[in-house]
Amino acid sequence: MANLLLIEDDPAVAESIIFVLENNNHQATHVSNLEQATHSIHQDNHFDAAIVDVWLSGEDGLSLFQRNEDGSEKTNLPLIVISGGGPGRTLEAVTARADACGAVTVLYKPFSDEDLLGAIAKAIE
Amino acid sequence: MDLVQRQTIQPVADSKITDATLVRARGVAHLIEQVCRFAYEDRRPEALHSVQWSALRYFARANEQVRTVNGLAKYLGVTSAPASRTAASLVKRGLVDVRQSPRDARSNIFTLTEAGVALLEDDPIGKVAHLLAEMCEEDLKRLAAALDNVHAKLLD
Repeated sequence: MANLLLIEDDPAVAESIIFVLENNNHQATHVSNLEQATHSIHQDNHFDAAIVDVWLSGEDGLSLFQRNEDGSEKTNLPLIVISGGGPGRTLEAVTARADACGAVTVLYKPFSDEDLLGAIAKAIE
Repeated sequence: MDLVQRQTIQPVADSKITDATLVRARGVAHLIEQVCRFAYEDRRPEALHSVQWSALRYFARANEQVRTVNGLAKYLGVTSAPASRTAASLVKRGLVDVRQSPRDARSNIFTLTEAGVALLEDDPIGKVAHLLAEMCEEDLKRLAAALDNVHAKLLD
């Protein structure tokens, strides 16, 4: 079982992901923006991995995995990126950014339950 | 969406950029261009174009449901017609197999062949990546942040 932080602003997508996670004995904490994500990480440092949507209603999900101004890490959680594309950038560019942030897996929407569970297994191994 | 506001890069006001800094920056920009050109220097007729390499990488790593022409189009940021031509060119070269999607009879799923997997081991970006991997982790993260910042501003 893994303790996962899900950062996703689309309620329908979040609901379907949580359904899959909970039916496979994982524990999920869902937040929909970066402020909530930062709060959750500071409150609970026992997450095993984060599942992050890149486009978060005007916020950049990957910025949580870049550095603070003082060079310190915001978080070093294993990162699973999910994206269906967004304004201004191609999925190829999003993938490059995710790789540069150290993402374990990049899943393109729509993805199967098996794809998600495989990515989680890889992230927590 | 504000993708420009990177916390790792402290921008300098235009009025404070000196001529010397601008010359150095131009040199760096040329070096980036040279690295990109050198990566794709193979000009043999059978060599893949950069967009074909992108498509091959996509079909190698994408989850099955989106290994389609529409998925490739979204990945490359093009319409389905050029994406379809690119996918077909890889099929014709024997680098990618195509089969009907089990979920949607109107859609085809693309998968790398053994030849495609073997060719990807010579991915020109892979060579550059190996050289970058020799940098220390901190330098690599700083370089990533700087290039990401420039890329975001170019897209604005």
